[in-house]
Amino acid sequence: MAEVPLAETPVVLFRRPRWRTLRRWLFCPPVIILALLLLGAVFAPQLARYDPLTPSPGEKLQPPSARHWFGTDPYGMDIFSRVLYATRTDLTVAVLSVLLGIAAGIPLGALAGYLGGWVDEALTRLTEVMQAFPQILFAMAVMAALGNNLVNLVLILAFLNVPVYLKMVRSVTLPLRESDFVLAARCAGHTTGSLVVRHIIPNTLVPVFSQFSLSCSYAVQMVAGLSFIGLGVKIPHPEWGSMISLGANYIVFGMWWPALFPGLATFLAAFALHDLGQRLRRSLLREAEG
Amino acid sequence: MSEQALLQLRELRAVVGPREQPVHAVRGVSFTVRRGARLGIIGESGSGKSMTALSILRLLPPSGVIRGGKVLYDGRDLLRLPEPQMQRLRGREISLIFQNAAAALNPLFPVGEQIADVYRHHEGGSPRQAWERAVAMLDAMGIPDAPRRARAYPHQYSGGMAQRAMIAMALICSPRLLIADEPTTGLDLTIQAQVLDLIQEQVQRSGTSLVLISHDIAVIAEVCEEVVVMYAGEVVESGPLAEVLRNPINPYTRALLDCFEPKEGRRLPYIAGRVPQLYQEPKGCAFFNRCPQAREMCREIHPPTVEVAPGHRVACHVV
Repeated sequence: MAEVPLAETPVVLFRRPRWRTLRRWLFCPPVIILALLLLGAVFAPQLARYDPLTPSPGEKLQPPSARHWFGTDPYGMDIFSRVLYATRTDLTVAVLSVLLGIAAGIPLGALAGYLGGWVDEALTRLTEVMQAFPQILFAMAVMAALGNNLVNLVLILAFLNVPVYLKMVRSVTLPLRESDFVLAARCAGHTTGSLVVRHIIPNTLVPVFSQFSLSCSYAVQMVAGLSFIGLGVKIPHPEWGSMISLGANYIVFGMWWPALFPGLATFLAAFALHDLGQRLRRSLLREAEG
Repeated sequence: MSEQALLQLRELRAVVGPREQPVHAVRGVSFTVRRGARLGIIGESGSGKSMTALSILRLLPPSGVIRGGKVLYDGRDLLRLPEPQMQRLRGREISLIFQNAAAALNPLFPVGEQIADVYRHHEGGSPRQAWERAVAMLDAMGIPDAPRRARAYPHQYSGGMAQRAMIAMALICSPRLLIADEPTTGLDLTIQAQVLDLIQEQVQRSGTSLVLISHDIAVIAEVCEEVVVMYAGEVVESGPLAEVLRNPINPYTRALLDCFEPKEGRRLPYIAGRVPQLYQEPKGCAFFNRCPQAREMCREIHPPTVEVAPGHRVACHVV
């Protein structure tokens, strides 16, 4: 056979990005915001000028100043330090719970889509029941029953994320099941397990990538929201939602800073993650359309 | 029959499609593949060739059900084998290659890795051994610069190369039976010939039996020594290739052969009408509505299979 040149690589997943593409992604607003938040979280001990957990009764509710950039809260704790440390709590809980949800959702979705039949029926109905339930109510009920702590918060949020990924992976698996390479893999003697792991799951990961960022954004809002009503994180522990809740009482007295700065941080994190997810999704759609 | 037979289909029946209105895709197919023999199955689209092939490996689409009959491989009925044993058989004893090989490779992994994967799956050994074996196999399939090409991804392969890779994957465990379902459809004519030569050469060298499915009598005439003509899910004529080509009896076989040997100055011949939709099994002969020699009895009575010469069987009232 004549020498056939290796074609240019048009595949999405493993292409080495060109510098121009890379630059466009590195310098888009959500990535910059997320980078700043991450830097703040990682270097919190160096950046914070006060211990986030030490109250200072003489300096309660100080407005922002050169000494306390974001002011102090009702216990006299430095809000800037607390907002920095809280980034660790909020992002860790959010990302960890989404990752756990993905870890369970992908294999379940692939199995549901690939096996079909009663497995699919059972899993689909189960996710529908789960999604029909109000999430905050569900979280409150479970926390009340199992104990109000961070680990349970992560587990609950992970559980709430499972249906999202289960459905997504299932929907991508359905057409894959009929594809020639899956038939070829079965011809080659693959068992169901090895086939799903080797051939189905890798081909479902692209939509999972863009959903990941969106889910994290939602999880940040859930963590802050649940902490706001007193679930998951208890007060001295730095966390945005509980800080907002603490500061909310003082807004009416004209003291806006204890609630505003953690609120701003929550908003920035949720917005950046959401915007990044949208950008990823649009870019993948463009790739798919060619 | 005898120890000569590697694969015997006996009255195989299969349906596909929704349960309320299934299509009778395979309707009592019987034929025998002798050890080391090369058998061709020919028929129009929709005549049940592919469904027969998939039934042998029990890989019908999810809506497909085998309704009866036997698939005797080496004396064992494959239809009764537990699934784990069937999985050990697929790709190791019986391999299947099909049309559009480019789609038969997983787009996310290098071709060599996928081939090595099959080897390791069945034969074990270290990843390195399997990889070397895969590269050697690609090389034997005439892929230039195999060690480098093995690391390339499927989209970097041309159609002909992808088909070679698929043949490599099918043959890497030295199966005893290779089923090739339209392996050259969709390839350039020159590449078609190369791929056919390759299949023939590999099969001959390893003593593998071959079932070659095609709608192209030229392809089958070049490779096979026996032929099975299928129409509407049934075998209408079968026998040694030379005998069937020289002395076709069933009007369908004749019409099919006419299409490939157009006479000077005539328009390209074709068989008028279409393969019937097999939602219901026809009472008489399925070819009745298109047959130039149809008689009244053909509508009502299903034609029996008759042996007209040694090994040459025909199912037709005209005999």
